[in-house]
Amino acid sequence: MKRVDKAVSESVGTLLLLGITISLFSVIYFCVITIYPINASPTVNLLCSISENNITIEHRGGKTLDLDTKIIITINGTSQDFRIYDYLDNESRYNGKWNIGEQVVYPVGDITNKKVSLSVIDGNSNSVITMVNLQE
Amino acid sequence: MLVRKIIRPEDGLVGIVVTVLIIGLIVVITGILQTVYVPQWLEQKEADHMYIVSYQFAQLKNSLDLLSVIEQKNAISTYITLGTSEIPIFGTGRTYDDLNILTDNCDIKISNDTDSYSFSLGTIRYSAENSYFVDQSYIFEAGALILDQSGGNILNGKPFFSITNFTNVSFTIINISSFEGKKNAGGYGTYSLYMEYMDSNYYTINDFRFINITTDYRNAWRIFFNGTSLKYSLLDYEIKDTDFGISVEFTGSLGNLILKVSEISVQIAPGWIE
Repeated sequence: MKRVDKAVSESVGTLLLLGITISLFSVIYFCVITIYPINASPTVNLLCSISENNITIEHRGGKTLDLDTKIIITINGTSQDFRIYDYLDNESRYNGKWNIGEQVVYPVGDITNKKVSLSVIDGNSNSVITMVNLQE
Repeated sequence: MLVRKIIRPEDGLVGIVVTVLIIGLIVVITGILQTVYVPQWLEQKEADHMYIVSYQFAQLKNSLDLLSVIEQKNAISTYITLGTSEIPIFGTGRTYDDLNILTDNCDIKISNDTDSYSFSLGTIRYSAENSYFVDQSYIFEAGALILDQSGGNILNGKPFFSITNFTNVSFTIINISSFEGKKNAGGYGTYSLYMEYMDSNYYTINDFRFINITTDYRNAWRIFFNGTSLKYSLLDYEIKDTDFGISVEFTGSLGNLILKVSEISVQIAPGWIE
């Protein structure tokens, strides 16, 4: 007389292995589809300084940045933001990129005895490139 | 009694499917790493190497300035790292860079209404041959440390330039000399630069009217002259681009210039020549 549950553990094991493989494959495939056009944060040197009521940000080498790179300036807790394009001179705007040696000069007004910090956000990678406290 | 075993065609199918999927997984993971992550790792590795070279060139300028200042028969060695190593397992990403001492690569000509003083200077140039990060070059030229990359160049360190009594200018430039066979290094590894002070000469140029610099790095020298104390002096001047560099023309009341030209011998690679 034959028992009906013969080799059932082998079948269950195979099914489990198949299930794990398919689910793992699906997860990896999903990851590939979603992360493929990944944009890493650009490596760039930016020099930020304050002089005569202006904040100057200079590109000091590394990757070129898009003109829609965002600057956020926080003065005593109040933030204001602008695009690089808005405060770059016409000659620097010409090639459509923020390149080495080019400066952004932002007239910030009187900031005597105020706390000033600055962040530079790259739009492509949606990442913070630089975050500095310019004045304590 | 003969037992006949019937082999069904779908036997072993699950094993084959699992094997194919596992191989597929390995291929996909390797593909992701090779096409997405490895280039990012390599780019970051090359960028880090550029930071190291930037620091090493700052030390190089510091050493050359020291030798020029102390004016004694002394020698200093500094090191420059060429190229980046490959990343483990994947074995890709090794880069090779160049380091050269270029003779007569930069000319400085200072003149007044009657005389003209010309100096043809040697320079040190490092060129990165990156695969992913932007190619950069560091140049030591006449005492200035310049960073050059596609799109422009900037000044990272300036030569000595000062003004006294509003019109008297002191300017120090450094001439790099070398020996044949000790001027070039290329590839991967850390190379030493042996720097030895040779000599300094002083020139006094009264009522100087022009400083002409023949250079490939106009923007860096423009930054230099705009960043000096010239703008606070009583000298009227204008910086112009020329065919091969820049020119600073002084008008109105003229000043006197004391120019110091230091000569420093630099050798790359071991086996120094005395």
